[in-house]
Amino acid sequence: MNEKITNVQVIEKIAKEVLQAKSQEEIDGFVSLVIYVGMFV
Amino acid sequence: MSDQRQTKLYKEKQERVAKTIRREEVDKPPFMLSADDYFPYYAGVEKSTVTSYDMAADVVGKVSDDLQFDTTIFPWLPANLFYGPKIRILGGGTYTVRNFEKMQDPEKVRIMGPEEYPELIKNPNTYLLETVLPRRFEVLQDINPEEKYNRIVEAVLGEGQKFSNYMQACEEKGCHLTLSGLMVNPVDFLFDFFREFTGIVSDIKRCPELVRDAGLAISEAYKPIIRSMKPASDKAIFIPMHIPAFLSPRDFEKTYWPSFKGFAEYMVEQGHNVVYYFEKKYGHLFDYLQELPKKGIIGVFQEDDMRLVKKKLGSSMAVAGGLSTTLMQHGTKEECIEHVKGLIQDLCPGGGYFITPDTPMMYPVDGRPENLKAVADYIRDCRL
Amino acid sequence: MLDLKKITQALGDLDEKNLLDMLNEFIASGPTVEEAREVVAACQEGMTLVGDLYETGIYFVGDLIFSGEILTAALALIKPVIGAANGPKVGTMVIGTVHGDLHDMGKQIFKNMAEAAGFEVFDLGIDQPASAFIEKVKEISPDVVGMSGVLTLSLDSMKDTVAGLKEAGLRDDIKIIIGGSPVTEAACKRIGADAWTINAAEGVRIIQGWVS
Repeated sequence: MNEKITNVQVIEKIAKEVLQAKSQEEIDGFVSLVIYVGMFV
Repeated sequence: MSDQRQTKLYKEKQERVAKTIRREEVDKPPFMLSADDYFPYYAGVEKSTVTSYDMAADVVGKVSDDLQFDTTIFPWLPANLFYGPKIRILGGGTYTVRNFEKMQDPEKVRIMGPEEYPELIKNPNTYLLETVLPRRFEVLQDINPEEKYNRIVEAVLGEGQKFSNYMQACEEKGCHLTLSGLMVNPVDFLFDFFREFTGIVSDIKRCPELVRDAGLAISEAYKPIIRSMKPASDKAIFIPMHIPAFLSPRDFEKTYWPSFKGFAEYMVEQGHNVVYYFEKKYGHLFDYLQELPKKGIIGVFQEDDMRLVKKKLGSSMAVAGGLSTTLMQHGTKEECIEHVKGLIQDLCPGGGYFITPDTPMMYPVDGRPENLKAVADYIRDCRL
Repeated sequence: MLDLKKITQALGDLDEKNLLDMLNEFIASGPTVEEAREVVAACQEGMTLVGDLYETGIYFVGDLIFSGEILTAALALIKPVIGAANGPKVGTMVIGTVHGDLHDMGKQIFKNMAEAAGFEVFDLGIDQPASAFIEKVKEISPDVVGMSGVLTLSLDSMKDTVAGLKEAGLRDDIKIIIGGSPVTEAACKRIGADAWTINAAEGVRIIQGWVS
């Protein structure tokens, strides 16, 4: 795979595939959750 | 064991909490505990023997059953279970866990420089995920994308689910938890996770508009999280306050207040309650706190005089605090009960007051168990 | 000609830009070692102003911390002028943040100010057990030992350190000062220290009094 995938893209992929997120709003919500809650450590 | 959430006793506690948040009078003094590592100490359990959330929930349930407080702000957060796995899976963190205790290492916090504020302000999520956070977390560095995907799922969703299950288990055992979520105010996020003390204070002095704007940008990024959460009248988003106690009113107003106020208004607009933990003294900022939304706010105070707090802020927010941990450690049972009688007499009338320890109970020195029990029993049997 | 009073006032006002501008001009003028030492003393007067404003509730902890930053920047400019001619050492001090505590900003400010006042300071670092203090005291026989801590737990570590120094037969030859937000008169007595402070400028006055 030549194309480098960004961290944001990986997390958006998780939102779509694991959480079945459909709207951009839901996807953005998960990205925020990862940063401000999930990585609160 | 049956689900205690279905019992009359539990529902009465929920109602008492919801009413106190709304500043309505209630039937008996509401007791809101604030404790962390004190839970296993009270239960007579050695922290190091607790190796699962199931065991931790048993500890919390036992303490709740014995003390019968109406609610506790957050459950025991065993460092080895709450912080340890995340640090390992993410490959880094600001905390270290040692001897089953967590400590934040200031050296590990400062991973961003003040010259980076403009980029952060433009797009905080992208800038943090692609540039800043990879300096802390191995999982965000140049590793195999599949491994990255799996580790983020495990750390955020996996560990997140374990914690949700733990909170539910605590409540099923009869221990009502106030918190629905845990966040920090936007400028505190910069302080706690990117700039550390000297850094943020210097930024506040040297580039106050950038700090303000970074706070506002993060506040916007927080909003989708709030929209995804379900509000409840007996629950509140828990927000510990960190840097304002150390700032002059002028510096606070310029840099911290805009995003603090904006975010508070947003959460309340979305139907949520918010419980702010005002760590250390906040008397110098009471004028500002009076301008927060007039509903849905609980303020927990540590070092301010509770009678003054209720006088100045009681018509803006529900207030909590006042139970002296020093007295519970050094005084007699009788002295502790007299002390609580005074709190009830002076602060319960009119509603909107929770009896809460004046510092989160973390260590054995925060109170002799027999004194806490005496206080809890007195409150349990007291009628207003 | 550099107005020393303006230096003092700029630091007292936390006016970093003005202070550093004046110092840069001063350095460019090729000052003598003696003139540079006078400027250091003027900075110290400024820190005393800051300490007073903090004690009267006008400045807050954030202001105090920032003053430490400005002082560090100022001393970094002046030190090359003073250079190897370090001048008379007024005393030696060992400092450290005690076991279990990782905070060091108060200690840093105190260290900067003590060095500016002519003390030779040996900084053990953070999270230092009693044994580290004992070893260093045995090694260099300082005049003063300073212990810093921000957590309430630190008070216990300070007590252990003092007890350890006593047991090692070192207590009587040193003066001990403790600092940090949980430190009080009662705590000082319990710990067995000679003095306590939550204000770095006051701390320097105390230790100067011990060695004069």
